[in-house]
Amino acid sequence: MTDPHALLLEQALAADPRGVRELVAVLLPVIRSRATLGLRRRARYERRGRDSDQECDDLTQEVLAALFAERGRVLRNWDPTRGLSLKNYVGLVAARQVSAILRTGRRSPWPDEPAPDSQLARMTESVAAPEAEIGARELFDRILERLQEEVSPRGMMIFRALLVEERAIDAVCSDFEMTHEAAYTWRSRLLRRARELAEEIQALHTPRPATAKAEVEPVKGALR
Amino acid sequence: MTDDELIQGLREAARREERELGEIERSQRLDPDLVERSAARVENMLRAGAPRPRAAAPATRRPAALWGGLAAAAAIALGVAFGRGGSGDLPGYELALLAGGAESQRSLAQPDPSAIRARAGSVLDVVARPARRVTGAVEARAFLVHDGSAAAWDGAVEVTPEGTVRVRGRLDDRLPVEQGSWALAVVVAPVGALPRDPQALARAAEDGPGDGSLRVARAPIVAQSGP
Repeated sequence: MTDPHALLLEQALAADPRGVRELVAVLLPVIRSRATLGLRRRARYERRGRDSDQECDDLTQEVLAALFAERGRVLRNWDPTRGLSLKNYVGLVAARQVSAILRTGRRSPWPDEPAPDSQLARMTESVAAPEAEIGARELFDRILERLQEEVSPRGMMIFRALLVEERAIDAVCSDFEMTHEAAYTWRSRLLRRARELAEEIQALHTPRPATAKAEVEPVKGALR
Repeated sequence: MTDDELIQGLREAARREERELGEIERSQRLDPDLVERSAARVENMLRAGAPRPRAAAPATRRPAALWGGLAAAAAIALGVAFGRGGSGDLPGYELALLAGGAESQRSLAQPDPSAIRARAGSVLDVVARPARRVTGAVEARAFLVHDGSAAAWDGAVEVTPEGTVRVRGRLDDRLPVEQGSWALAVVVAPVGALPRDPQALARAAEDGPGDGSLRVARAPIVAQSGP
């Protein structure tokens, strides 16, 4: 089935003003939602108030610019025959961009905030009880973000189909035009990377012995 | 953690994300002006074939005489100006309009979408971003340049440790009344390196850096009449 936005994308990438305008109207809400989600999460991780609309707009514009950079190279890579709608594709690309920008500090929306680690330590001193449960949720949210950052949009769709929606392997292979072996390889690779990321993230937030009192408790069900 | 626990945790995280994203999508109201501005910017990028705005081609469309010595400094695209390159420790700066400007700012039909189009009392919100992270603290001042003569603009200036400068404020009411060329200039320098003498500082805004340690990012303002 042809994606309803395939022709629009073609017109827009040819710099047709009307096409550009319509495509931007389609994509901007997708990008802005991802930016909002990313900023909200970051605010939660850092235990502070929500971001301003302006920060969200800035981030949205950065992602939009990245999509259309080099004459729309990222958008040209979208293939409607490979199981992803344009909006889904852009959503996943936006999630990756937003996560990378916010995590790596390539752009720092809250430059005056103290470092996250010190914030976590202070929070733990005053709010000890629910930390384990919150920590476990946060751990998986962070793993998911990192996967989105590292894995291709197609890979994330396969992740969703296999692990989130628990669809039958035959159906997934058919939708993504791949063999059973390829599907199992994807599953195995995604889980392996998720486990590595869990260890990496936990290591970053695990207390050091010398300052154990003020540190965050390891999350429930720590990796072994 | 077993594979099942890992999968279950990821599954719940994905579903949480989906729910939250759905809530955001349902509650967000997209500003039509934002769509217009974004579309104009994208169109400009596609036409210019620029990989990113900060790598755009120099603005050769504007008559050099109009901007005096600025021809080498400014590459302007939809409210984005590029800071002066050259020697010195500071990277070039790009100036981008975040919010404000007149309605016609968003018109796709306008001949030059790069200028800031503003009316008397328009509130502008601009950001000057360095081409790369700066290594030391910087400070900044904003100016309105009218026919080559700079006057300090009393917009609120914020500077991040990365060297990004944001200026927000209300434009001069003289804007649509006094004929001639107008521009917004943001002068950036390492802390302590901005000229203390207001006139020397204004000259820097007018003429650009003389010693390579200052950066001036600027964009023309086209005065709009009417409400």
